[in-house]
Amino acid sequence: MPKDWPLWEVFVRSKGGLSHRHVGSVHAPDPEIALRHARDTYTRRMEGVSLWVVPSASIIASDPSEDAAMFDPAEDKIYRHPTFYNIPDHIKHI
Amino acid sequence: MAVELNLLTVLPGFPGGGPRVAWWRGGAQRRAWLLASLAPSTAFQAVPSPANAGEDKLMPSLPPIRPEDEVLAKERRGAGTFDAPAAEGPDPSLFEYALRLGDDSLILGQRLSEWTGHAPSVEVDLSLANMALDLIGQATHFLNYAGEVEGKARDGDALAFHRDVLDFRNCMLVEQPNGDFAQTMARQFLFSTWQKMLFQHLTGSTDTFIASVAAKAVKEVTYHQELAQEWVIRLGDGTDESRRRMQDGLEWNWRFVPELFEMDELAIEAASRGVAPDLTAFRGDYELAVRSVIEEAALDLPQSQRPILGGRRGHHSEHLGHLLCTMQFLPAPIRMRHGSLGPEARRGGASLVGACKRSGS
Repeated sequence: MPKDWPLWEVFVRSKGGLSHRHVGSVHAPDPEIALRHARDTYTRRMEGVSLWVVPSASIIASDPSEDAAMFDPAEDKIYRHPTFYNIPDHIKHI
Repeated sequence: MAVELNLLTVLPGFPGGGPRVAWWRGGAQRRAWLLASLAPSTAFQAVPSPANAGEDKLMPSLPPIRPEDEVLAKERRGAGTFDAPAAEGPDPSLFEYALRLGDDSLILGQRLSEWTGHAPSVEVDLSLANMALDLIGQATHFLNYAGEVEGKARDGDALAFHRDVLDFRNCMLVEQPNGDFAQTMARQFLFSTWQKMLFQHLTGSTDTFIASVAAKAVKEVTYHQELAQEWVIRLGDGTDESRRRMQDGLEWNWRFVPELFEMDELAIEAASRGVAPDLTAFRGDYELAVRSVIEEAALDLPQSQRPILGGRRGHHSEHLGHLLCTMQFLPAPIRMRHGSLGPEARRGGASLVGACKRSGS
């Protein structure tokens, strides 16, 4: 049966104030059942206070074959990290 | 005096549990007062004795109270015939009622756990196992409580694993076989809808323990009810095959519904004491809820069938013996090997063999 069911990505908010985090996926025939499956699969041990399910097909992912073009250029831009800069002594409260 | 006591004990409808103790205390005071008023009046007349004359003007007939008497009185406080608190004896009807609640949850929990590893998908497998665990948790509370009320040193485990089929008090619906997934969900829907309404009422029980378990369990059961309802609707309003299977599942379980609302002597007594609700009070709501889901699922309301009753009195279908055989097989030999059981429980273990033989496995 599950092979006919679409896949859903599951996001759990572990406590109020934190953002939802991706925890895995479930198979389910529709959104309501997907939410229940997510609840029964990923929040059995008090892991969460809120759940999102998203059809996996709706997620637009980067292409792994274009990893180099996507991510390599950031590698040598260390000046993009705030720690790259020396803070002058007379600057307080930073 | 004997006549007076008999009259009191045969008075119908005296409250039990906590209130009953207070009532008996009241009775004791009344009897004490009655005794005093019936006693020959000369017994209280002051007869001055030469030894104590003049020592105590108010009660010249009594000897003076010595310090050692006071110590003795302190030690013996509450030991008198009339001022002793009434013993909290076992309450057979509360025991039976707690068994009903516990056995319903236990047997359905065991039934659902049979799905583990066999469900249509790993997610459904977890759903069913979660429900089973919720139910077995409820059963643990109710059966431990039943054991406490009974006062024969039996705990929840002893009651679950060392009772024979005739001593189980669950309704017939929960012991029915799983069948296919649709039949399991039909059973779950019919039962959880009832159990949710029952627990909602039980949160107001005069028995504070039952009320507190119900308050916790009602959240679990609300989820069971919703999940089962979703599946009834999806399978009913799904493909031709899923509709046929769900319709068959409903038809199979339908005849066990009237038992859920049976008001036998014990249910009436429990309701009169405020321990349990009057089941007829929410029968209309139940029928409405079931009917609306069946409609939404585009299923046919099953024809009314001859109701099957008797589970509450220990008259079960043949399926329960098989279930117990599986459930009780492991604990009995292991626990007996460790020799941790008294003769009572040993008998339970031995009778298990009888249950297995009867069910032919």
